[in-house]
Amino acid sequence: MSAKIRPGARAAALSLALCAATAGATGPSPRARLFARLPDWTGLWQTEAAAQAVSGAGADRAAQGASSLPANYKKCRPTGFPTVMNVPLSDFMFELLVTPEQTLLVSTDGTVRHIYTDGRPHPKPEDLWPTPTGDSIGHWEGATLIVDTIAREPGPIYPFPDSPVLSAKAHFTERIRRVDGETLEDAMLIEDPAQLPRPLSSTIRYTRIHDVDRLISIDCEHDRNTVGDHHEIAPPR
Amino acid sequence: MRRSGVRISWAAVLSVALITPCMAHHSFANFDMGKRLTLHGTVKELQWTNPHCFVQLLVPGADGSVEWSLEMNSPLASFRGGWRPQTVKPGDKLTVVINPSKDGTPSGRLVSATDADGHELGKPEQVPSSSKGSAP
Repeated sequence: MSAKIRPGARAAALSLALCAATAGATGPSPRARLFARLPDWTGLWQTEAAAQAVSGAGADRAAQGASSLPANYKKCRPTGFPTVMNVPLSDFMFELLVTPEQTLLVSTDGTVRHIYTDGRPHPKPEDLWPTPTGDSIGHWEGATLIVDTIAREPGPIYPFPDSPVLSAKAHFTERIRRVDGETLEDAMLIEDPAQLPRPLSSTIRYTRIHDVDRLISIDCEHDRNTVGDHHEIAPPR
Repeated sequence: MRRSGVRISWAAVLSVALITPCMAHHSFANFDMGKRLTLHGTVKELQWTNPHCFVQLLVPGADGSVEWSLEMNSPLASFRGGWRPQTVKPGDKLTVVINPSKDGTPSGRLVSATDADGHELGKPEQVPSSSKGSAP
């Protein structure tokens, strides 16, 4: 007979561990020991393409690319998932907070991913609706985080006319690991039988950022660009 | 279950993003990227603001000075390119190269800026190296 652990049992165990930790136990607390088993992903991370766009020819290429976008193109909100995992611009970066209960990804553009690793399942279908980042749960296989994401808002993967369009039934599987001290990797599989004739796969690598030491958000509060039939810059203040 | 079919990479599709930043806040189609214009002027203000910074430059002309709006990148991207909020101050003399606007308004994308001493501003800092290779 195989024992089945109720969803949330691991969370309960974690709570008990926390209680034990506050009861005056000596030595590392159970939660501290859980932390010790997790990989160190501290720091700021950017795609390899973003690293090339920081300055010089890479920055010029980025500007040339922006000039090829339609004149009325404007987007100023969090990019959502999965795009947030593959933005090639120098002001896009993210930070990962790895805890026993969840891994949290926070991006400069405001996208936040909660990847719950406390054993909870996805919500029941009747309790679930699509969102820009979907619902993510994960578990650890050694130092690799396996992420399962569903309920991502239907629509294109990225805002290009040639992007594959996904349904709300798209299913994402990621294997995130640290390749070395300076490199993270996300191997992603996207399955969506309703929209994709075959799964899409991708391996994206990220490099550690050394010239910025904290996450600084970007927003559009002071945007001087107006977009109507054409694009123009508002007059000087 | 064995997955069938050939997988294609959306990252490979997105490699075009190296030259087309899909997540730019807005298009730069209003700038003539094939044209470069050199201006000499005096800084009125550096607007260190999201989503993009601007240098407001007063450029003397036949009918008095004209205020140009020179668009940069975001504060964070500009920071990484070596700029700081105090890199230029009101009154500083600058020589700038820009991609001018297509509609003839006094605006453009800032390509480079040189101060009165001939120093190019916003020189790039050390760019992090790429992948160090594979391991475990």
